[in-house]
Amino acid sequence: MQNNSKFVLVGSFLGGLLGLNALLLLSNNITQIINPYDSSFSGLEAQTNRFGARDLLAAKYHHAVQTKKPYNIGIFGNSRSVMVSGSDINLTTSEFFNFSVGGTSFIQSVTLLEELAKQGVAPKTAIISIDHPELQFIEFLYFPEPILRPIEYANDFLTVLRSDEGTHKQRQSDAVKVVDWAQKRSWARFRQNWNVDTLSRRIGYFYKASFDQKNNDNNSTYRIDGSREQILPERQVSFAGFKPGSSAFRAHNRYIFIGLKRLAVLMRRNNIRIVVYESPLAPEIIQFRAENVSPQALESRRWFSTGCHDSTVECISAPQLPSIPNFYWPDCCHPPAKILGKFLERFVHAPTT
Amino acid sequence: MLFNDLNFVFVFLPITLLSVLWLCPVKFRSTILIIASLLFYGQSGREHAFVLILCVLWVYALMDRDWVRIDHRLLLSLAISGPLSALIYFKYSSFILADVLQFELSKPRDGFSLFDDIILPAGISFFTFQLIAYAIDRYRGVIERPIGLQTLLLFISFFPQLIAGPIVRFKQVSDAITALPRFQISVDVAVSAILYITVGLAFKVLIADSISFFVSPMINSPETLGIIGLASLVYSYTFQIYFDFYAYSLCAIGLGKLFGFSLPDNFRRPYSSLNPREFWRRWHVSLSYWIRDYLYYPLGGNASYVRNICIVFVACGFWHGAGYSFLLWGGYHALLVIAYHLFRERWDKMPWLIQWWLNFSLVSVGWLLFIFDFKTLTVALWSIASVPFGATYPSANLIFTVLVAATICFFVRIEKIADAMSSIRLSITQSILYGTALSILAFAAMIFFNRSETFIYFRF
Repeated sequence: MQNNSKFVLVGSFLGGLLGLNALLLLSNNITQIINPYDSSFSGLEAQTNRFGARDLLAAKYHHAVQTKKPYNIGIFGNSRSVMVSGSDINLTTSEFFNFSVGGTSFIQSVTLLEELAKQGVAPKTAIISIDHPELQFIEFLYFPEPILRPIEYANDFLTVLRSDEGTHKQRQSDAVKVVDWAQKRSWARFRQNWNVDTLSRRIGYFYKASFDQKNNDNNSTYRIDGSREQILPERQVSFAGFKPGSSAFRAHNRYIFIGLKRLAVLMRRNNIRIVVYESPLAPEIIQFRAENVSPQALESRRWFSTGCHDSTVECISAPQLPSIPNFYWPDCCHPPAKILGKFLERFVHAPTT
Repeated sequence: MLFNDLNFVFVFLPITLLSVLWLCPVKFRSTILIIASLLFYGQSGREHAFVLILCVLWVYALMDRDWVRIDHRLLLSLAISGPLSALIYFKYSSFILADVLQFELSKPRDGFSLFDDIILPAGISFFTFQLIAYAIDRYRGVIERPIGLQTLLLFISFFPQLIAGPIVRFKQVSDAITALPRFQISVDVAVSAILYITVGLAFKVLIADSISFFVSPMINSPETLGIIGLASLVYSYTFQIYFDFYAYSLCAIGLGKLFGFSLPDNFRRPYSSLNPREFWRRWHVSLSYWIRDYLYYPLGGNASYVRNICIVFVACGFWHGAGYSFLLWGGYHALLVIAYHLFRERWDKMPWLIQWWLNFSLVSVGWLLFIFDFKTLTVALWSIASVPFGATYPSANLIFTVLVAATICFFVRIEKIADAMSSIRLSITQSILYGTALSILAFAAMIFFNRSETFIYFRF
């Protein structure tokens, strides 16, 4: 009897701990249950302000899946494209959704599009922003849980190994680096599930959605079409101190190549149009950068060209955007939504090339 | 690797436990535990694990022999010199060269400097002292026979106590090492271990790190403290360092239990002490007793009380860190203990509450030398004159956390609760209740790991 009660104590402890951790992992799906872009939760998108990249990506993915009908146009990318709303490219919210999430990189956009395609809800035209080679923002996957994607890593490994670039030894080395980076980052991402700040944000979101809907503020910086409001400066900003910030890590550049190859497969299988454009730089520095291209940028662009070569993916080098009076760039690389929208509009209405 | 890390909780501990207790043949348990411990230690730097192994081999080669006269002083000196040299090089060389001898330690551009680029192996002070204790015990005949390389390596590298103690003597764990192949974990031991580890993690993450979160801005802006800020910093840090170190000891004891080791208590409610001498019998007990047995008594003990107290406390301060502030901290405590010795009759006649408050405050003030170096301490103290009431005030959250910490510190005895839980009869309802409560506490600690910091005593 005495020992039995101790066994119960140990069992309760282990069971309780397992149960709580399972609940924590299940909380990753909170936006599947209560989707902020669902019209039945009016104003709830305001709560996504405090969400991290993972929850935002999940919210946008679940929204598309729950909508069931593919959007005509979907924009993918990070903070350099998230500000573009439907009105910036003359589309309604039923036709357009911005899947961009700040702090993510190209490989995340590719993966999200693949996941949407698996569910049959990939946009008919996907416009993907890839960072300008002088300002590569390299981050690993946030969504879906990267630790659960060993087969995809094996495919990436093979893609690098089978490419024609470099010597066999270089390819081997790069392939190992790619997988090594992937597995390290996957584990790091998995560990981020145990994060009190993320959990408290989710609890706050759940509370708002379930009990406090009336108090949802409508001054959201996120819009119902997935885009995010942009605060622009009232006057011209100086870019005198601009410095390039490219990643010099070869394996990172390989991810550009891998991403483009995966997109080509996606196009073939799903009959969707994919446009990949390099995010533009502010006109004030574009000339300077063109004359002083960094070696890292050259390397990144080389991989971009290699990936695009012989591919049906439409690849666009960084455009020089026109100025619009009273619309000033806040910094080197986040164009005003109106200006970027004008540029993107051409892909919306242009026929497939 | 840290205890307050998901890698440890989810990967290292379950794999090690499964391997040692169930998967591997019993005769390989020691080997597996040594490998696991070295992997654990190697996470902070493979070269550090190499230093550890080298020190063990050195002492083993000299003191773990039958064929030499083990009671030879020269042999003992030689045996001690190995790990001690490693400790001096890694911990003190930069301080001695740069601060004491005022040498310019400029390293060549993009080059490696033998003295500038030293990274202190975690816990080197702890395992060095264990090795010295082993060598001296062999010399004194306390350990009569050679114990073998594997046993010595396990004794030194056993991962729960490797990085921040308790500083264990071989005699305290020899039975556990011998019995390791036969060890089977009982449910009573499991209950006790769960309690120790869970409470240890909770103390570290929820109390010590929470206090740290609030006091860090105070430490970073000493010029704005004033009297209120300084007082709140002193008392907050007093509880932070206690819960930080106490938490590690609790985790170490709990983890030790899982493998059949009974590691000694390192804290006996030190802040409840009524005088400085009593404090040192309750604070970091394993270090106090090590110093007593291997330094104080050989120096002559009470025969030259004042001199020997000065020597051992300055040594104790220097053990904690290579810096003048640590030396002064040791000297400060020597002064307290000597003052108590001289005025003992008067002190003991005071009401116990005043004795306790005086002692608690004096000990707390001493931690200032842990928080700041000399220069910053001067700035902090000067703030009392320049901004008497300061610009920094303790937040309500800090006050609440410190009050919780104080309540636990003075009124809760985890060791007694653990003993009671493993020995008393519990009803099924009580068992479910306690088990669930502990799981919630463990979970709460785990979700705060992302904010958690390394243990303060790791740098010693």
